Parts: sequence; C-alpha cells; structure tokens
Amino acid sequence: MRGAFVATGREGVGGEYNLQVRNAVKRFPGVLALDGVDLEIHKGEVLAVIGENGAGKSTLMKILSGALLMDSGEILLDGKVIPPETTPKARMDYGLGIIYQELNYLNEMSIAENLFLGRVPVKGPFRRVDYQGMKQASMDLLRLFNLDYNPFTLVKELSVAEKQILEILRAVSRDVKVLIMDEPTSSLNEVETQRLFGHIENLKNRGVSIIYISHKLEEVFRLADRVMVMRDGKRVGVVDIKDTSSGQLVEMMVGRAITEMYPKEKVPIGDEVLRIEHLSCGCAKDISFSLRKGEIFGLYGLVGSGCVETVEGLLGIKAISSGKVLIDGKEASIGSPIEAKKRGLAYVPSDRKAEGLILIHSLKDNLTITKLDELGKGFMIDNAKAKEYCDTWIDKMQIRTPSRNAIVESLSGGNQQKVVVAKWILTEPKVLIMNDPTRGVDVGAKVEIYKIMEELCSRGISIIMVTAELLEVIGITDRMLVFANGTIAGEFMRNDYDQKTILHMAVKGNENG
Amino acid sequence: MASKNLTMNEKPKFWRRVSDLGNTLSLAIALLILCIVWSSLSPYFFTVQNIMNVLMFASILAIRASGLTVSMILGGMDISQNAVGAVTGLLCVLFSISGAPWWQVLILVVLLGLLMGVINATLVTIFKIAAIITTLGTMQIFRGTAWLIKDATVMVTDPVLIALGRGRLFGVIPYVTLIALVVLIVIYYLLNFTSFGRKVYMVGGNERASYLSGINASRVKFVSFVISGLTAGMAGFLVACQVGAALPQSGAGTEMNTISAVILGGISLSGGKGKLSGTILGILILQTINNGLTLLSVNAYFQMVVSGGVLLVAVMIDVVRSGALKKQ
Repeated sequence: MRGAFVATGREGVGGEYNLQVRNAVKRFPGVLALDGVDLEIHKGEVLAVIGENGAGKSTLMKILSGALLMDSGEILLDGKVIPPETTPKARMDYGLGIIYQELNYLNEMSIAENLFLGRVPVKGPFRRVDYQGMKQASMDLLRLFNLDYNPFTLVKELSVAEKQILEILRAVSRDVKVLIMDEPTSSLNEVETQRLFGHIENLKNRGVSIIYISHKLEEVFRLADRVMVMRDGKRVGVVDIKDTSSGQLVEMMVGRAITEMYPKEKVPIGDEVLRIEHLSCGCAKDISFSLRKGEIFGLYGLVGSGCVETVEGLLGIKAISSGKVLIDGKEASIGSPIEAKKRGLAYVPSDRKAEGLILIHSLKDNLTITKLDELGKGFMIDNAKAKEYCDTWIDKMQIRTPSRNAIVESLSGGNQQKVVVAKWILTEPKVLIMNDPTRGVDVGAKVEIYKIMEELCSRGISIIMVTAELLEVIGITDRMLVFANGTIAGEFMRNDYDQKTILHMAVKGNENG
Repeated sequence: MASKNLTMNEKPKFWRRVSDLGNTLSLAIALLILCIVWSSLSPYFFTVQNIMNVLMFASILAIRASGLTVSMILGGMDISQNAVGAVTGLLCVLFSISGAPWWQVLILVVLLGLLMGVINATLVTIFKIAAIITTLGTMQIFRGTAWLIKDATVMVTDPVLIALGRGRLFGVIPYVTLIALVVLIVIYYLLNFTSFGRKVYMVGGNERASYLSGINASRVKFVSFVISGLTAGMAGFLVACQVGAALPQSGAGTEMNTISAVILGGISLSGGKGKLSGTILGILILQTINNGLTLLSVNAYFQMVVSGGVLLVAVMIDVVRSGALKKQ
C-alpha cells in the first residue's frame, strides 16, 4: 500500500508549494508559542506534524484555520498571501479546511443538512430549502467515498468514525485544497482507522494536501510522505518518511534519546488479590479472570470489544447482569464507585477531562477529592494535611505545576493524568484500574506514567490496564487478555507476546461480529 | 522543561489572589460607591434608622439566598423557594393562632422547610429530574397548596412572633438581622470548612468526575436541596412575622429576586464556582438601590427596571473582564 501512495504522492511535487507558512510568530502572555515557524506542503502530499504537548502544533494549526491571529509572519496559499485576519469561514472559502479533535455537528439534523450547513441550497421566490437538490448533491458526495447512507439519516445515529468521514466530506464539498486533521484517530478503532486512511488516500489522489497531526508514530509511518517535528515553538526539522526511523523522530521530539520507551522492571508477582467469575455487563459476556499482587494486567481490545464494560461492571459504574467479584478470596458486591473505593479499587478513567478531573478547580482540590471524608473529620477541614498530601505527590510524581493551587485545566495532559493517578494512590488501593491511561499524553509523559505504574507495582499494588494500543499493552504488561466481541479471545503471558497474533485475534473477532 | 511550565498560561500567585478577590472586591466597591451617591442625594440615607431598615429587608432575603447559594454552587436551581415560604408561613401562623406556643411554631417552621426540601431533593436526586424543572413543578404545587389551605390573609397575633419579625435588639438591630447572621455563619462554615462544603463545589464542578472519585454525589445534592428548602421555609415564616400576616400569595412574582442577587454575587449558573460573600454583597447592592430609589420617591416600576439593568450590567462587566469577547 505504501508503495502505491509514494508514487502518487510524488507526482504533484514539482517544487511548487500548495501552502506555505513563513516565519510565523505567536506570543501568549509569558510564552513564545511559535518562534518563527516555517511550513510548506506540496500538492497532494500528507505532511505529518508531530511534537510533544505544548510544542506549538495546535497553535500553528489554529493560526492556519483562522481561530488565532499570529503576531507576525505570512501564510501563502497557491502563492497568494491570505490576509492574516480572515475568519475560519473565509479560510474555508480559500480552500483551507480543518477537522478538529472535537467534532462539531448538529446531532439532531441529517447528514445532508450537516454537509450543507451554512449554505443550504434554496430555490423559489420564498427561498425554500431545496431538499431534492441537497439530497442529490449529498449522494454524489457520499458516492465519491463509496458510502452507502441515506442522506437524511440523522447524524446522531452515526458512529464517531462515520462522523469523522462526514467531516471529510464536508471539506471536500467545499473544494478544499489543504485539509488539516488534528488527531483524527483518537477515538477510532483499528478497523475504522484503516478505513479513514483509505479516505485520506482518496483525498490525496484528488490533489488535496493534508496536514496530519498525531501522537501516534505508527500512523505517521503508515500515512505520511514527510514529517515535520516541532519542539518548544520551533520547527526542529522536516524529514522524508523513507529516511527516518521512529527512534530518530522521538529523539527529535523530546530533544533527548529515550533509551527505553517501556521501562519494564522485574517485580515479584504475589498471590491472587482479585477474581472475577462469569461477569456479564453490557456487551461483555461471561468474563472470568484473576489478578495477582504486583501484576500489570492488560485488557486489550478494540472499541466495543467489551473490555471497558468489564471494568465498568467490576467498579459498579454499570450494573452487571450476572457474575461475581472476589477480593482477597471473599465475595464482594460492588454497586457503585463509592463501594469500589471502600474495597480498595481505584479507577483512572479514559476521559480525563469529563470523568477524571474537575477542570475548574485547583490541583489541591482534585488531588484530595478522594480524601475529603478523612480530612473533614474534625471541626474544620484539615488544610495543613491537604497541603502536605499535595506537596508530597507533586514531588513524588514530578507534576509540573506552578503551585498546588493551579487550576488543573491549565496543566498539560501528562501532568493532569498524574494528578488523577495521585488522587487514587492517596487512598492506598489494592487494585488500580487504568482505562487508556496515556490517551492524549505526549511521549515524555507517557514514559513517566509507565514508570509510575512500575513503581506502584513494586509497592504491591496490582494494575489492570485497559487499552486499545497494541504497542503499549505489549510494552508494559505482564499478562494480558485479548477481547473481541464481548468475550475473551485469548490470554497471553509476557513471554508469548506476539504483535501479529494478538492483533489478528482482536481484529478477527471484530469482523466476525 | 522550564519553558513547559510557562506555556501553562498561569498567572503568578499574587495576581491570582487578587483576581480571586476580584469579584468580591468589585462588588464591595460598587456598594460603597452606591452608598456615597445615595448619601449625597438624600439626607435620610445615611442614618442609623435607614440603614437598619435596609438590613431588615435584606436579612430575610439573605436567609433565603444562603440556601439558594448552596444549591446553585451545586449547579442546581431552586425556584420553588418563595412558594415553600408561603406554605410555611401560612401553616405556621394558622398553627400559632390555634393556640400553639411560639416555640412549637418555630419547630413546625423547621419541619415544614425540611419536608418541602426533601420533596425537591427526592425528585432531583432519586428521579433525576433537572432541578429547574423539578422546582418549577413544585413551585406551582406548593403555591396551589397555599391557596388551598387558606385563600385569605391570616393575621399574626402572638406578640413573640411579631417581635421576632419587627423587633430590634436595644431598639436598634433588628432580630431578623441577628437570625440572618447566624444562618449565614452556619452556611459559610458548611461551605468552606467541612467536607460537605468541598463536595458541593466538587459535584458542582463536575458531577461525573466526583462520582467516579467515590463521592456520593446524590447525597450531596440531596442535602443541598434540603438546605435550600429549609432556608426558604424560615424566610417565608419571617416575612409573615414581619408583615404581621401570612398570605397565600406571599412572594409570588418575586421568585427571581433571590436568583438575581445570587447571580449578581458571582455564582456561576453552571455550578462549581461562587462564594457566599458574593451573595451577601449582591443582596446588599440590590436592597440599597431599591432603598435609595424609594427615598428619592422613584416609581416602584422604575425600580424594577433599574434592578434588572444592574444585574445585566454586572454580568456584562464580568464577561468583558474575563476576555470572552476578545479574539486572541
């Protein structure tokens, strides 16, 4: 597949650029977010932009899309300068489109209405909506991408992946020349990602240039023609994908060599602490497994495979339809996260912003939320103790924050995640359940989180890690279950880990269903 | 890595402190300016008698608003408060004229407030009906109930109760102000120094995250709505004592006054943010405005226009100051 698109990718490259950014500078109070960044992209090329959180990727993209005004520099599209103050809508008219991580739809409206949002075709003296014309135009668009939907299907009935494709269609319908995609696969499973990549290929062949922002190096290698690496608001370099390796890219991103991405240590494995017998919850059916002390146990599966439901059932977040949970050999009925906490279970949810943290409150409030009952035992809440907890854990986890009173929303993704982990460590749990703990976290912070996990295991905590990232589950776990279609498709010990077999098992199950 | 810290767009500690105070501070300054303006326009404004009058009216509003503050920090809204007050006032005065001693009447006030709070709380937490809809429904139910109980004015006869509403300590400080002070201190303590108060802020900030952190969000919500009902009952009864009569229509049409004061005080409609001190200042500002306009013999309808305008201007200043209108 790669060979095919390298060939087409090269055709349009005649030295002329489709889009150019020259010497972009953006300053926020106290920070130079962009320090004279250049960017150029050829017609029909996929340029991946990578960098740690805070490297300036998003700022650059916001400047391109018109959401932010740059302080100096210029943007040229097909050789013509775009006035810097143009609005996002005007940029669209120029042919510069962006697909954000958070998708913007009107869920209660149809595919066709969403595609033609803001420029609905009208006819007649009363400017009646031309539904027929809209339907025809939508079907033509859908056909371009071999999609077979009724254009009047409501968007709320589509999956996240389908919505993403809708967004691409919207851009195509506006005759986009350059399309910026900001981590489009963050909520897609493997199969959907494949499909999305097919569509991106299709776009390329139409001569659309794509700027692809991602945290996942794996994807960059599958998709991109060239990679631009950013760090601290500067462009570190641009390399041809043929001439680079993931090691080199990581080094460019971090500015130092990460000798080992997955710092796996030998931790002695103890007795069983948790056992689940024939648990069914939502789409997860008849799940049994046991967890031992000091173990990192992976639950790997694509979206909808049932591993998330399994832990949600275990924690009492969702009602289980059958099965039982044993903690230290004794049966425990857990009906809510409150009981789960009392039984020594802790949960780091995947959606940090919606479920893990209270963004508008301070680090201190977020960190001590699990200890409020204990802190509030006396006549007045024990503030000194709360501060002590914070200082201890900011130090131990190396949370980079201006102070313990900083609002957590202002922290970077990796530091936010450390706060979520720290608040649970305060409760001295037996089992820490982490759902996609490194989502949206940059490479450096990922390694730190893995190290923290190792450290916790050596202190006798067991960890269940739910993830859809294969490299991660292989890199860090001692033992894993592969989920597919709501059941356990296989179990592997660390020594028997094999990427192909595991992926095959997870995907095959998924296709059968 | 040092540069990373900077990208967090965090203000230095000192300035954060000041901007934390910002809202309270600017409200206090606004109140001060208002007092100066009124004093210069009317010789009667800055007299002990007049100030105590303002406090007397503000106190009952403050009792009601302190409970509302709790439920609004939680992200809920209680618009049934005035109706709760009408039912409580009416039933308790009826109880009193039937010959019950004043202390039994006071116990009934508390019980009725709690009962109606529990009804709201149950609907909100157990049946998971949005707070504003729940209280919209119960507002009408309670109001109707008040009319059903007695569609006439019931005079307060017990001298102790009259004294409670109108009396003044040493002839200067109204008793209701002292009661309000106690209620405010209790609510302030609850919000700021107990784990319950911290939980109110947490659940208001993000209910789901709080629940997943092992906080019993439903219980916190329940208690908050009970507090809101209790303060509403107390306020309604004190209004009856002050007026000297309980009316089924007491407080009808002025449901939004308390909410205005709380919002003026800087409590966010989406929950999680706000302070009791803001609420108190909000009430004082609105009451002072009304008092000044009355002293200047301004038409009562015009006073309504001004109160509404002040609320909007205050919120507008807040929006502009937060930079939400600016394109970066």
